[in-house]
Amino acid sequence: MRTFQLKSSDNKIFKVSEEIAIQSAVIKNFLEDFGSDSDEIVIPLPNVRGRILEMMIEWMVKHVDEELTKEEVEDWENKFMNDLNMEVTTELVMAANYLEVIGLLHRTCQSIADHISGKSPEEIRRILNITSDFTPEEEAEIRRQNGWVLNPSTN
Amino acid sequence: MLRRKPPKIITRSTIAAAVKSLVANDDLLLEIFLRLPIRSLLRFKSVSKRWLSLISDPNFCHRRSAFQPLTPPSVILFRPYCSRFSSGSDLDYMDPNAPRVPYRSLEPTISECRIVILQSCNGLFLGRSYEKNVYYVYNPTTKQYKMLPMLKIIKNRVTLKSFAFELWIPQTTKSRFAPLILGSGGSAARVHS
Repeated sequence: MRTFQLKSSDNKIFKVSEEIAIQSAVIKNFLEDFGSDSDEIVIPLPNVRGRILEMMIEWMVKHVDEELTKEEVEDWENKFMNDLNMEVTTELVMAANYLEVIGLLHRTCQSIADHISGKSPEEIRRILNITSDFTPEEEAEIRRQNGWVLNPSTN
Repeated sequence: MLRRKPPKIITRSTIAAAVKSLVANDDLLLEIFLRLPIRSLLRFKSVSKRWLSLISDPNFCHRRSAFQPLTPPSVILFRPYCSRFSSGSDLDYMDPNAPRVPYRSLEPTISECRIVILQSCNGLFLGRSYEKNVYYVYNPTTKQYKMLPMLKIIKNRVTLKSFAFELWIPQTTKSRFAPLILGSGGSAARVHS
């Protein structure tokens, strides 16, 4: 089993086995193109900082562990996600998207959806730093159109 | 050997950059939108023009219905054989434990059996109160109703027989359902909600 080194944006080095690393479609393609047997390959990941890369590797390690049952992995995933705040989850979404770790991408997107689903448009703008480009009239019109199903009392 | 000092990471700006990249990435936003309940999606249409256009995109709607299949109907409407002379229908619940749809008591002042369900379309009911001669469109999912404005054809005592919802698309990209009312004489009227 080959091992590789992943280097984060803040120059932290993580040694991982091929089995773990190839859960990232990007790393898998990179290794196929590289075609070397050398253990000395260092894969630079300039878009991911060390703390986030460490968490991704933790995720990937759990998902190749054959001793765990499906339920155990799910329990672990839930705990893993519950311990994260919205900001770190966002960083993980970006990293999972960049490295194409599909399972992690879907799980983190679900976590963000759960986090924002009950929020008002104003809260969404504040959390995600979005500026509204509607005129007050346009915004009132959209709310009026959807008011039919948006009455908070019936939630 | 000259070693480059590792760059000092300012976590706060890294996080801000991640949020900024996420918000700028349509594919990722759509991945998140797919996982939101429909009510959140409708509410988030007013976040920004880009969110409105992403959520309203028909391709997204198709993807979402494949991702979160619609729940089966919880209620069916039928017209009892014995009440040929009544123009209304009765409700039957698919699930015996389903919460009762309070369509009979839309308005507390109206006694129970006075509202009759005439039709259903796209998950909405058209109901009629014979006492007040007013028509309602009722959404059993959200338990909300709207009284239809008094139409000319209703004033003329034309009985409403059926209604349909058509997707009404004005010049802008805004789209919505507008009830289309069919009167007994074949007359039709469009109600802009």
